[in-house]
Amino acid sequence: MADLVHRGGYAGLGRRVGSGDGVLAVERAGLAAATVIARRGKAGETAARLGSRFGFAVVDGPKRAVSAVATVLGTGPGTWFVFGEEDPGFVAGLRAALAGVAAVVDQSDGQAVLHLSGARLPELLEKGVRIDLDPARFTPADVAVTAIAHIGVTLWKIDAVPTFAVALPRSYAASFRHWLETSAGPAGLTVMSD
Amino acid sequence: MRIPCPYCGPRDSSEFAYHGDAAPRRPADGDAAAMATYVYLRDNPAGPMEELWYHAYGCRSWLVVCRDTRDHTITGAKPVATHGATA
Repeated sequence: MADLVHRGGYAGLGRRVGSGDGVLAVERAGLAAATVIARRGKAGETAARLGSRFGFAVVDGPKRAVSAVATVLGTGPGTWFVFGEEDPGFVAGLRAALAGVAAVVDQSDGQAVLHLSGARLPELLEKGVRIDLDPARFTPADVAVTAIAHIGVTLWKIDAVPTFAVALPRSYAASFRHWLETSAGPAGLTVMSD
Repeated sequence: MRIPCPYCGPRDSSEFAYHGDAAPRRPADGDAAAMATYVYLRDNPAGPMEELWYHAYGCRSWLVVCRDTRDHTITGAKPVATHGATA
């Protein structure tokens, strides 16, 4: 039987638009991803177990906690998105660590993640994001679940440069790239995928 | 119109789905008249009103939002869980 090869949501879509130097979009392929949804009344215990598993503090709020091995993003009351490096044991280990307190669903093949940076990135994000991304209000500790061009996205900031990350259902990747190219065209865009 | 989601912060109303009056409570089974009232009859106040809104493009919470129906002034939003509108 032929082996199935993982193919990122943006695979094969690499190209330049305009000058190519205003915004850089790089696909972050090969991530393990899982949603964690606490059972009724177990949000606090789920946050505590997530924190002890990865060695950082996890709160029940729209906040990001990160280490070398995992990123935990608050996406709703008692729910989190957890990303790690590609590893078949990542989600299974998470499920075992949260047994009895939360439902863990593997989303590794369901999400497409882009890292966005560049001198004219703020100008691009203004065209699609309806929340305040001023550096004083939206920091690398924050997470936003919102919509860009009617596509539901999870948005967070990796560093203060700024570099943003956008995760969305991978079947929307082509539609999102259409928004990206249309909106970033005047500034110049380079899309890179693995 | 901006809705102050208790989890996400202030968000545009386009991220939300509107459900309507937060006041009606489902009556016990078997009371047809009360059920008809629950299903069909709604007040239409001119002024502050508690309504159910679902934050579909955000944290996916049901909220009870207090909105003035005359000018859309929003004076508060809280999770349904603390309001007790639905089980």
